[in-house]
Amino acid sequence: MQYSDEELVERFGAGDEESFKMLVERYQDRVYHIVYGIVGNKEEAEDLSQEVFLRVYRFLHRFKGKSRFYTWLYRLTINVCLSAKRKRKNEPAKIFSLANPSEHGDDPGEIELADESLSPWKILQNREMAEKIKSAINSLSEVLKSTFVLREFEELSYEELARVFQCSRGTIKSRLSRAREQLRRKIEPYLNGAV
Amino acid sequence: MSCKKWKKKLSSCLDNEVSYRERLKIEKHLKSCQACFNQFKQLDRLHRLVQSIPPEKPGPGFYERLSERLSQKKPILKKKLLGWRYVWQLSFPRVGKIAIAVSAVLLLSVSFYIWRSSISYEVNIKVFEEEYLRSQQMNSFAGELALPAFLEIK
Ligand SMILES: [Zn+2]
Repeated sequence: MQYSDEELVERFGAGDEESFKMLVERYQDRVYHIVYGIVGNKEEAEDLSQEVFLRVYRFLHRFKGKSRFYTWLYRLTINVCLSAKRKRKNEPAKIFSLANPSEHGDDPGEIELADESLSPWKILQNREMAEKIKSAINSLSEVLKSTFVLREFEELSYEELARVFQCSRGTIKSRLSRAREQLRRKIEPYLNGAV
Repeated sequence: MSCKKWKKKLSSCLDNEVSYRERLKIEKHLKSCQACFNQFKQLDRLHRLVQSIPPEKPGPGFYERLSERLSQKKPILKKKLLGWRYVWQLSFPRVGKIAIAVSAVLLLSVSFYIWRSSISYEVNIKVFEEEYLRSQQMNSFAGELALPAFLEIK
């Protein structure tokens, strides 16, 4: 039997731990994907994704069901990421540069683009392109980045994004426009050839 | 309207977050303006490239690691209480809950009755004890009286 998010939330509220497990398994990949998109490295993405669900466990009783569960969850996810970044800014000497994922243990060989029929040269070029795009996304400001990541990775509507960030639709519209313009400038050479 | 203003609308047009009328206006401009059209094409390609990057996934055993971290933080008592609440709220249908409530009330009144009667039983024992002690006193009194006579015999 497939429970809806809201049913699982309700059951968990009544003490059913199994429902919490189902919620985690339903959302762990998506939360991780978003967190990775914002922090840009695997270790931290794992740690912060777990932190997100620890908070879900602790604060789920505060979720009143006025909005969809996932908008609440994504808001929590963004909060965890941004507060971790803020904390880290106060720490001395960062070891890794976020702009270059290969510097902190991410094997570039793992990144592959969907089309398997491509020649090895093309695949290499695609990997290089994927890396360029990732590091360009990483260079965005935290707010632009998290808005962009939720839009592109999770395809949230502007209405939903406005709810997640608790701002107006107009703000979302302008953030996405700015984020895309900055990305476009950064990777312009990759945007002219055939894809 | 200047191209700068049109370019700001391209992103929301790409997301299908503009009204039908606005969309028509933008398309009309794109047909007549090569610079804006190129930029729109680039944004569209950027979107498709981002979409083509496979999503990062957490390693296997994510939930197991999470539940280990949870068990470090969670007070056991609370979990037990929640468990009972869960049994009460989810395991029984409404009729079952009523039945449990009624039998709990019955059980309580029966226990109260038994408790009351055991008290009166205790009272009886007390009375019995007092009577027993009094009779013992009588005996010892009789013994005291008898003692000199006993000595006399010796
Ligand atoms: Zn134009």
